[in-house]
Amino acid sequence: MITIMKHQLANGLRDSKFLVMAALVLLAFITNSFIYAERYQLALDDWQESIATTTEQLSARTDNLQNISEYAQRLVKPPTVLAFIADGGEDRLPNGILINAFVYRNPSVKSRGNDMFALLPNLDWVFIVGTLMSLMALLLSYGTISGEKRDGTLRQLLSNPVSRASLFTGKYLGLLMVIIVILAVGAAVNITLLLFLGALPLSEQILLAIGWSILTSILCISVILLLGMAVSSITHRPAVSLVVLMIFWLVAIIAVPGLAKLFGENSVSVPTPFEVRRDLETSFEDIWYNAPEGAGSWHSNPEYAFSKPARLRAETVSRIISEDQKIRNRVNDARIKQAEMVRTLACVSPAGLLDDALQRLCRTGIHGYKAFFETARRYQQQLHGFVVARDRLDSHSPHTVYSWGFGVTPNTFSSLPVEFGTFPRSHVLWESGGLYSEQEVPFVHLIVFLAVNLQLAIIAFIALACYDPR
Amino acid sequence: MTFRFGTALVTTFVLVAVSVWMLGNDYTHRLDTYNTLSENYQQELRGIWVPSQAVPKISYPPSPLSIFAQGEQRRFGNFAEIQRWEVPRKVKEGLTNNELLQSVQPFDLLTIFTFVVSLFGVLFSYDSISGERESGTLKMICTGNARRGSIFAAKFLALTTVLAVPFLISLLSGLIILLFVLNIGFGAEQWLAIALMVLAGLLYGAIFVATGMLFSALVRRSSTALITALLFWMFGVFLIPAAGARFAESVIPIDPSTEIKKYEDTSKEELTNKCRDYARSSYPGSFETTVWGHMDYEAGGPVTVFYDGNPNAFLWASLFISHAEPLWQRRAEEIWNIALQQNASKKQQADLAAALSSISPAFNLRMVYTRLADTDFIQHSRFLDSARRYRHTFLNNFEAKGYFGKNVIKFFSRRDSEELTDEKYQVRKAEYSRLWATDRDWFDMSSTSNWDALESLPDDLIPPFQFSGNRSDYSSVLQPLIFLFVMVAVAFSTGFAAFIRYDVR
Repeated sequence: MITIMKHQLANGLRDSKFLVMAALVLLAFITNSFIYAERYQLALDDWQESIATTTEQLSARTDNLQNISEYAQRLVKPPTVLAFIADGGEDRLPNGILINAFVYRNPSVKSRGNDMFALLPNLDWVFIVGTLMSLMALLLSYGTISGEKRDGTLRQLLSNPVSRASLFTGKYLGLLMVIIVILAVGAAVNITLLLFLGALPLSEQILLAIGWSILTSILCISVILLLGMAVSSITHRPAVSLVVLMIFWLVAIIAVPGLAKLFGENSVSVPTPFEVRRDLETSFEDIWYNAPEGAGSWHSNPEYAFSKPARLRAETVSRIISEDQKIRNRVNDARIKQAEMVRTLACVSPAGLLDDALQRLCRTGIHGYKAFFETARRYQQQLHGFVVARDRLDSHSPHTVYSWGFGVTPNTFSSLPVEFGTFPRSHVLWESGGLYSEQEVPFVHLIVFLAVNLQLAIIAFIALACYDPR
Repeated sequence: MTFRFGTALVTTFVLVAVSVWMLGNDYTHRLDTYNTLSENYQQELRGIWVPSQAVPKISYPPSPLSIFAQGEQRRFGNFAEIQRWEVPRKVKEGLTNNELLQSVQPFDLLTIFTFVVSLFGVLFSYDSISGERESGTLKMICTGNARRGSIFAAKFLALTTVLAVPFLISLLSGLIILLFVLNIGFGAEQWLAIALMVLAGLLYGAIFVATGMLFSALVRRSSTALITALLFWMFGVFLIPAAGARFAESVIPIDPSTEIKKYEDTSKEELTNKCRDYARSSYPGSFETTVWGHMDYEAGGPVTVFYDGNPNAFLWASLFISHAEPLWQRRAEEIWNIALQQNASKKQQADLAAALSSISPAFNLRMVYTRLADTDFIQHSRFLDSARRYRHTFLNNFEAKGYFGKNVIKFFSRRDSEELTDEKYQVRKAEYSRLWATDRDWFDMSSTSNWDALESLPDDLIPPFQFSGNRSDYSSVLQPLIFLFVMVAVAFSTGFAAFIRYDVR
């Protein structure tokens, strides 16, 4: 088996066709480094600028708790270091969210991506491994068995005292080694360039993520290799195996994502902006026009804030705003759910499964968006808690801490000055935990890959075992 | 060859049938949603109280040929809002309500033809010369009476025809599904567009047949020809458009849209303060009366005047509006100018990417199909241009008919006058009713029963909107079609020359 493996490996590495493809893959990895180094730098600059602007604005408002709590901060998603592995459409996903101590709005797109290029493939690992290297794996493996059947060399091999199992395993491992060599060299060049360009701050979590990504990529390509060997074992002519494999590959690349999107959109519905507006208006009217007597009044003199009508008003408005927020959350959650459903359906193809696994590992795409949103919500709660706690310390305050969303009614709660250093900041939340605080290893995906690998290996082996060389 | 042809036929047929079925249903659903939304917006318009609350929404229906080439229409949407204080620069409501799904490649006819037809073109032709040499039949053909040139040309025509069969059969079955099963009809313009799509598709397939034959005539072994042809396929279909875009992105920088947000925030604050100062200084005593009005007005809404006994309150509110309105509109134009500059760099990127990608057959096919289906960027930007022009029409109409003066909602309610004695309240209410009785342009919110008895929308408030989309403009299709033809010619003539000198032994 070792001899067969070495022979397969040597054949692969000496073949000029293989060298051309390997060169293409290497070129893709190198281009990847330059593209993502630049993107990371720009994203970092944008993030730092947003923090600086917010700091400036907040520090100008420290004279008054009401003033600082009402200010709508624009939180920007921190740059994703590992986008070079699985882009997930990062530069077109919403990455800014408006937040103050009382409400938050759904994220909006404020990045530098050009929407006109949305449908073009990104040169990330998902593309390089899932499309380029999988095509390469197909071309390496389609003729392994059927080519030898046609040339007659398989009969010769089998006439030697070599078991079919070791023949099969030797060939498989040989091909796998070829792929691993290319992947290892490409990844090493990629990572070295990124380090050199200063776009890859190393940490234990990032190294772990890279490691798991490499493992997942190998498992994905192994699926394609075994598929190639399986078809090759079953058919008798390489031309036939090639056609069959190319069709599988094409269907997986073009049909599965598009169909997943159509099915996903049909299965999870997202309210239209018109419906959302209507729901917001209905909810407001229901609460406001059924509010207790006096809740609608307001006076600018400070004593009014301590009166019963003022408290009723505070409760009514708080209810309105919280219902409003719930409606907006529902819409955003529906969007996320729909996108996740599409992603899950796309996992039918190996490239889709790889994409989802790597996006989870690298916290990009939908998963990164969700993580960002969750952290932003946590920060907003932190802000609210801070304001309530501060207000409690002020004995002269009427303690009705509420707002009309992004506007606070004067005199309703404490207006004492705030020490800037004590005010919670979002980037502290990122830096302490950040996007990689909970490493999500996609075990389910890895198990599925292993299972498919095993199944295909069994099919390929049985086909080879049943082959009658006479 | 029979196996390959059979597989091509079955694969193309199944893929096209599934795609047309799903996207045909999707189109019907989108059309229904469009009609419902249009109706909803009309109703919304009828529910306003004063003219300045009118926010017309203009739209165009989804293109039927988007079933074949989704293009950008589904991503970008087809409804635009016409706000007084905002020049429309993007479409606010899309057919896809989910911006998280923007990057997913649609499974339409264009995608199927781009990938599948081209791949089968390569698979049919990669061994047309080298394969025959390997099996020994090429020697026999070449020693016959036929000239080499005619042999090559005949092979090319035969293979292109063989490739055309699954392409045409699947397209025909797609059309049958649409016309007879889903009952989606096409007009004369669309049939012409479909005919041009067929032509472009045939040229596109021919490019790959010719290229496959070229590589087959340049090398000795079929497997080498296959790999080379597949590399060409990879470049022509995937890599060149992607590389063109990435190169353009790195060469032409885009400023982030923080510029606009900064200007929006600072100018809003400045203008708000300016308006308040103006009101305070020009109409002393009236500021407190119109205190709610200012907050609404800053958001683009009407001025709400809370009547507290000052008989000039409404007059002053009108004068205030006529001073403030032009200032806010000028701000809208400024914001638009900044956005235009930012969009200019995006457009430059797109133009550079297009120039670089014009050597890719797949890119040219996409240009042809999305233009013919009227779902490309040109259509999207034309719609936005129409929206901007319409906004000018709408605002001019507004001003000419004097609707700016009718932007005040009168408000008189017990809720906020708890300290008033009953007598004082009645006196004030009487004054208010007298004022209101003489000027029926105002809307009275003093009792809930009036909220249903709305002043009906003046018929001339919303001018009609027409958008044809310039669907019969085929000039932008000419260039990519010519490119496709040139590529066929180049591949064919190079292959021809290579075959003339090919060693058939």
